[in-house]
Amino acid sequence: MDTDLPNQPIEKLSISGPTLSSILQSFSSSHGDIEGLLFGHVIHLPPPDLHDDMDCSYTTSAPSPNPIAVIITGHICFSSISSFYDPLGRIDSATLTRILEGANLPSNSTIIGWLFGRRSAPLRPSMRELSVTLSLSRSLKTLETNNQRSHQSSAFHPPFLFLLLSSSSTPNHAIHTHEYRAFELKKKTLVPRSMSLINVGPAFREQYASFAAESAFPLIEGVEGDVKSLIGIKKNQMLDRIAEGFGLDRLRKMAGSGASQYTTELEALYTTMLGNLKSLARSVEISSANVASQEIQNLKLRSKFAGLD
Amino acid sequence: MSVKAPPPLIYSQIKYLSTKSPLPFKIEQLRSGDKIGKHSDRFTLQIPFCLDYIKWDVIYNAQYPLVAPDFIFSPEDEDFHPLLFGDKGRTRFEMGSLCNWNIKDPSRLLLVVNELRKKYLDYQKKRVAELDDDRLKFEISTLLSREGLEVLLLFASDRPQEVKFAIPLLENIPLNKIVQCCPWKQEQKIYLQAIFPITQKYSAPSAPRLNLVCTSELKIVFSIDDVKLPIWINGMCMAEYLPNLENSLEAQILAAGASIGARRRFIEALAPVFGRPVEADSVYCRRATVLVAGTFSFLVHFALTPQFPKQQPILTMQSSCHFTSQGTPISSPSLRTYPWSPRWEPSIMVERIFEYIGEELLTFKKYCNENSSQR
Repeated sequence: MDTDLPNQPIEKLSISGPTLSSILQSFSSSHGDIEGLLFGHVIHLPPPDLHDDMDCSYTTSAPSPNPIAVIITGHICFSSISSFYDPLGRIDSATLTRILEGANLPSNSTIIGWLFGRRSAPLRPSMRELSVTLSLSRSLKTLETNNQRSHQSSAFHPPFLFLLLSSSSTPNHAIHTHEYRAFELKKKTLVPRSMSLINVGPAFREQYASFAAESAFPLIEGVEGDVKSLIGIKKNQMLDRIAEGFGLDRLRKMAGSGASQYTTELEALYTTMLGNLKSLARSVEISSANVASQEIQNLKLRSKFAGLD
Repeated sequence: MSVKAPPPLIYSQIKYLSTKSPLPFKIEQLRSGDKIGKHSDRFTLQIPFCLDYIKWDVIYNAQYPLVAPDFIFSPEDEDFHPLLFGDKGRTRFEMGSLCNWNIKDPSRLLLVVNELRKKYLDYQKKRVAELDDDRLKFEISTLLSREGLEVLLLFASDRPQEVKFAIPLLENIPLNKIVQCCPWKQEQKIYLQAIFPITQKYSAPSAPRLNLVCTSELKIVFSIDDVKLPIWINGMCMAEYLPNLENSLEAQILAAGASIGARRRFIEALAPVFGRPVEADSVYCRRATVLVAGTFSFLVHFALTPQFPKQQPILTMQSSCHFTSQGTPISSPSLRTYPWSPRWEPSIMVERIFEYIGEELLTFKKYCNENSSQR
């Protein structure tokens, strides 16, 4: 990695469609303001298209020799606001480290910025948001140097971003409007940046080839173990788990030429699978209800504190 | 969407800010940051600054009442970063009220806003001092020592065009004391507003636009709009201009104070001739009304200007017996051309007015009969 990279301005800033929609979803489903961290990576833009057609009359010249692109690929939202900084916007490194450790982030994910969503407020960075952005970019540098976990030289500082969101709806909630604006931290100021969306389609093929999605999925206790053990199990056992009660012989019959005779068998297989899915859905429903009731409980406690009943 | 009340703790801070401060803050667009709009927790704050208002958005969070409010400044002040100034220790000291935020303290928001306003003033002064204009550099260096000076860079089509100075005048005269038993809670002030155009390189500096401004209550006893400003001579600077202005202004303020005493004596002199006034302004002595009773009863209103006794009272007669078709009593036009001398004793002034009213009586009665609705 080049050491002069930090001096280079961002040539292009993009966000993957699913990431943006999931950020918008997090915001629109929350009652009030939200904040979180942005993950992504810094890459060299693919060089301009090379034409093997020698008759091509024009020659392309890149504006800078090593244009860099920043892609936002994932995010996490915190459960409350003002969770890792003080009223002056100074980062509480200990809390931040604890949050990051608790979040079980993939080792290759890089924090490239943070986000804040607030309703009924202008889409300009506030006093504290700038302070947090600056302080966060500094403390991440320190964390990085302290941990020495990255292979990159410490002279490499990725650009730092701030994503500001706002949302509003008509009084009858028929139309919801979502707005977002990305900012790049430059010399203690936040400069607005245009941000392109990466979507599926022929126009995005190039980006898609160089695109690797990473999303920090909040791992729930217990499930994590299941997933790990799943990988360790032999193929046969895995198949057995999925197709419970169906031996290999029984399955082979279904795949053969005489499969048509075994429609009842197939239906039985699906019924079992559906049953499994159903019980899974049920447990998801129960745990969601628990989470929701806990959230309501928290909301009540906060309201009580604020003197609202 | 209808405006919902802010949560009690936030409300008490907003109320303290708008009622307990000597500066008249205005709260606008109270709104909710909640999806369902249950509680208002953000608003636009109009802050008096440099004889104008600046607008900041104040963002509280009703769901997290412990969290300190945040501020969004106007787009022209995009490089105003009060939390990034200087070293960390200084910011913590200067923004102490925000650093040790406490939602349960009603005065806390006002303290934070005042701290920010102070930082904003420093920011504006720094901006003006950095302009490439030698005259303005000189003006600001000579004026900086004046207590209470405020400056503001004025933009037109995204570029700084002018600099506005609000220069407090007569700081050594307690203006509140010119009225006896002063009812004013707010400290009265007089400012010279000077707007300097920013001079382009190699062009001659043009004269500033000058204007006197005072607090609204002072206008009741002192008509600031009638003050004639000394002429600004080319090549002059504020340090030369201000002493002259302050001297003439001081004399006029003292005269305004003396006028209140003269008006009071005039109103007191009404009683022996007209009988006790039905109504009288006992503080500023700007108005009095007497009743003339008889077969034709009517009221006489006296309006006294701050230039009394130089300017004679404006009289209006109002009938108690004649009404228009709308049911309002018929009044005469304002009477201001009757015999008058500012050198007369108050008792003579009142007697002469009494005689004049006696002469006007028949004309007014005729006027009433012509204009009243026939019943």
